[in-house]
Amino acid sequence: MLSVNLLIMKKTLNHNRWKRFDDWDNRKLRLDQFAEEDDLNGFVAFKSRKDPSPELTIKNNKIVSMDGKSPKEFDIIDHYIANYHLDITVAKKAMEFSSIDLAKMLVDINIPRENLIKIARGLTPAKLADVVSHLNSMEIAFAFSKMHARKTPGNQAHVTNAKDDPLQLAADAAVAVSLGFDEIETTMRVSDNSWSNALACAVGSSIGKAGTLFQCSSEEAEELAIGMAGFTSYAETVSVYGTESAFIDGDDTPWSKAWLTSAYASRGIKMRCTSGAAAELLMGFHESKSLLYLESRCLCLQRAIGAQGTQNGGIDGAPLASSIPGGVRELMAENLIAVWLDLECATGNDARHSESDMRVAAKVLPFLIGGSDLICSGFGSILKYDNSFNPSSFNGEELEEFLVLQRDFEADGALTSLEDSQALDIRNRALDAYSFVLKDLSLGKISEDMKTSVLYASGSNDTKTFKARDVGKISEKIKSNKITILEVIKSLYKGGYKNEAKNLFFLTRLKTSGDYLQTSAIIRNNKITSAINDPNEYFGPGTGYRLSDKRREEIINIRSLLNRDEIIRAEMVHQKLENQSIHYKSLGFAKLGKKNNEIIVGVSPAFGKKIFQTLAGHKLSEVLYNLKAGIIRGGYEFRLVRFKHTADTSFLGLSAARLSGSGIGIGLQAKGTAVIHQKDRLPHNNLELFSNAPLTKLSHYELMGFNSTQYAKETPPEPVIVPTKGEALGARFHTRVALTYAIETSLIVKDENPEEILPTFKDYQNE
Amino acid sequence: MNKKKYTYKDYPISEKYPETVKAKSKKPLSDLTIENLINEKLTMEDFRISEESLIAQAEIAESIGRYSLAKNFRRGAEMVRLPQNEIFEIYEKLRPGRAKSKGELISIARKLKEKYHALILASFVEEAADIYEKRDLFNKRY
Repeated sequence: MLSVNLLIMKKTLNHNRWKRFDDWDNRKLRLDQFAEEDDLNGFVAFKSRKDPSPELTIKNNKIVSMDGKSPKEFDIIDHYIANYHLDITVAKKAMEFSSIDLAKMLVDINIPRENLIKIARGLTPAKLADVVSHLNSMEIAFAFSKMHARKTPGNQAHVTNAKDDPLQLAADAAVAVSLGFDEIETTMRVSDNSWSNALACAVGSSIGKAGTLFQCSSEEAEELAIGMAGFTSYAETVSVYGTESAFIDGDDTPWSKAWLTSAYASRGIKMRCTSGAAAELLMGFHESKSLLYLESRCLCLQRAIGAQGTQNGGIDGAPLASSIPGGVRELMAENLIAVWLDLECATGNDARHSESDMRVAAKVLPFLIGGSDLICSGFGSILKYDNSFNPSSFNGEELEEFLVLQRDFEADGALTSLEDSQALDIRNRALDAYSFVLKDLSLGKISEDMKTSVLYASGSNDTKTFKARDVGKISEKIKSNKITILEVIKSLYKGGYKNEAKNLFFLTRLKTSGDYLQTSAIIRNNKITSAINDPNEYFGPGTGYRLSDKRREEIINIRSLLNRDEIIRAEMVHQKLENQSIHYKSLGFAKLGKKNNEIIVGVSPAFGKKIFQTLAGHKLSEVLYNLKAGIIRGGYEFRLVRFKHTADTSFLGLSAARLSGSGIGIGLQAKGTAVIHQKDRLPHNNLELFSNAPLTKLSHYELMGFNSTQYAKETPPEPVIVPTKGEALGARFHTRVALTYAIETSLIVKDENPEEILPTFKDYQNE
Repeated sequence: MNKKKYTYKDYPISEKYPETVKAKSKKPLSDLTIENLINEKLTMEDFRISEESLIAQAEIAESIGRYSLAKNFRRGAEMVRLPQNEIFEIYEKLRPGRAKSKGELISIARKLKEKYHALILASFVEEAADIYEKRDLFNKRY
């Protein structure tokens, strides 16, 4: 008894849990942290016990109570919202709607956006939060798609690098523009480098086309000064918070933020605010309120201070918000409140909320398919380690995944593919233009080696470029020499970069009219496109944003597409090789076998005629040679027959078996799929099937040949196992399979007789 | 165009009525050409937005019910008159605990009225003074 107990104990010690948990632990998902719901400690997405009930009392045109507080109890945020957000003329009627009715109106295609926008001007923060909390994720996504301000979707890129290298910034900014980003945002590792970043990105953004808006995220006064010097055209660093204590801790008030907002307008610079779930929780001033209620306050405040828009949806707080149950649904809900309040919305999908690619893709999808003013409020156009804002949901690494998602869903994520040669041309142009300006304005010198290293570099780990100190000096000189965008434009013009000069000039000149200060303004094809002249008017199928034929062409044309011609071209190359390895001699009509010691290998119509390699990349001559070797090892003779009436593996196998004197045959398609068959069996009831052609090795074919002889001797062998590691073979090969197989079936001739073939293996002649 | 109020139908002004757009320096948009820039006839001031442009944008915003955005544009229009350093000094004073008393903000409001004739901004700062007093925001924080 004792020994048995010890054995059990030992087993328990070695494996104290199901090993699948080890597998799960090793998934990247498990690097993410998840929090328990706990409203009193601020860890709740939609509803905390401490959230107020929605309510508004107005007497003699004055607010006497809002969400359960009298003006005497108002904090600075309440005061500002009461004074500037709530429109007393519509508030009474608006608040009389039940939350569920308003929720239904949000998803009702027959209720125009503008009606809902008007109602929102009279709703309190608690009411807005309460309404959207009635919607499930699907309804939130749908309502967002209906409610966002500008019809045409857009996107924003981060352009930064770990060295604050201006050469790389110029090249990467140019690439971001050509990928289609409407806005590019930079920031620095070292704050003193801001002017250098600004100049480099401004030059880079001028390559190829005009009108890409640009911002340099830095300290408030510096950012406005850089804007005043004309380098930048928008800002989004004006953050607001949902509790007074977080606001004060952030060293501002609604009045100081409103002042800044007007300051940007006074200098012709577009701006949006920043807010988002869990900022207050991170700062430790959550007042036990839900994420959504606090964000609703932020958004009412942003409309109140007169910002045209917001970037929200959990910006830096996204990872924390996503650790809470319903957190990602909450992020969508706060984007919905933003657009309901008629704000431009850059919908987060910014700071990477998860290490799991699946969670990231799932999160972006509603905005990709539903459209958004700016789908990502910072898509890392550079590699993760170069992103000075921290990694984004999508980065340089994942860019093509985004392009493919656009193609999969025929959805406009505002980006377009880039070809190899095009990328180098653009980068080269940016590097030359930037180098010229730097030298011309006596800011620094760039060697050819530096340029070359940046030209080809995927990220800053690959560059041999400025030392950090040099960048600081460039930045300091730009500032102290009072260089403005006008000097840069003149310099570009002088250097022969006339189109680039004109592109920058276009944007600079636009500032005088203020047209792009309006809600959701971007520039497309040298035209202002905003919520005013491109409003999102959705009334169901056929309305709202639709892909034009031209845009669809751009989206579907990703890199490396396969087609029939491509397959045939590749096979023509393989044919040359095969001609050196094998010769097929036709012996005419294949007769019924008389010898019981023969195995027939029946091949498909295109075998060795149009197709010369298997999916695994084996030459067909080698496959045949190995099958033959296995058959001979089993003591049998090898016969080769081409069937023309079928290309199906099972029928090839069965036809071969019926022709074979031993009653056993092997069916073999040109792509490498093979089957061992017996003459008396039903077509799909074979002896052994080798369906995973891409994984089948030559040694497997040899074994298959041998096994066929064992079946003939009626001594069933161990079946050949072709191991898989769980590769998604369909994804990897089925496009080629379908194209290849179509070539096979196109050669089928009904009722055509089988053809006896004598192969000569030239490679093995000496054996 | 100058007398009538702008509406969303006039937008974008730079495309529909470029002849009405003037920079802060009073230079018309038609003078802002790359040739004039190369010939050193233009400075940064010629590319600054004017009060009139901001008022026009405010009217456009009002015509489609974006009243608070319009209010911001009207504050911005007055702020066009303020030099950069003044904007930042007042911004600094509006941050929590910077102004030590209500009076400090009131005197800023007076300056905005008297020196810049910026009446909207003045009453905005007065309002802040009032609320800051209620919320006890005149305390030094560091």
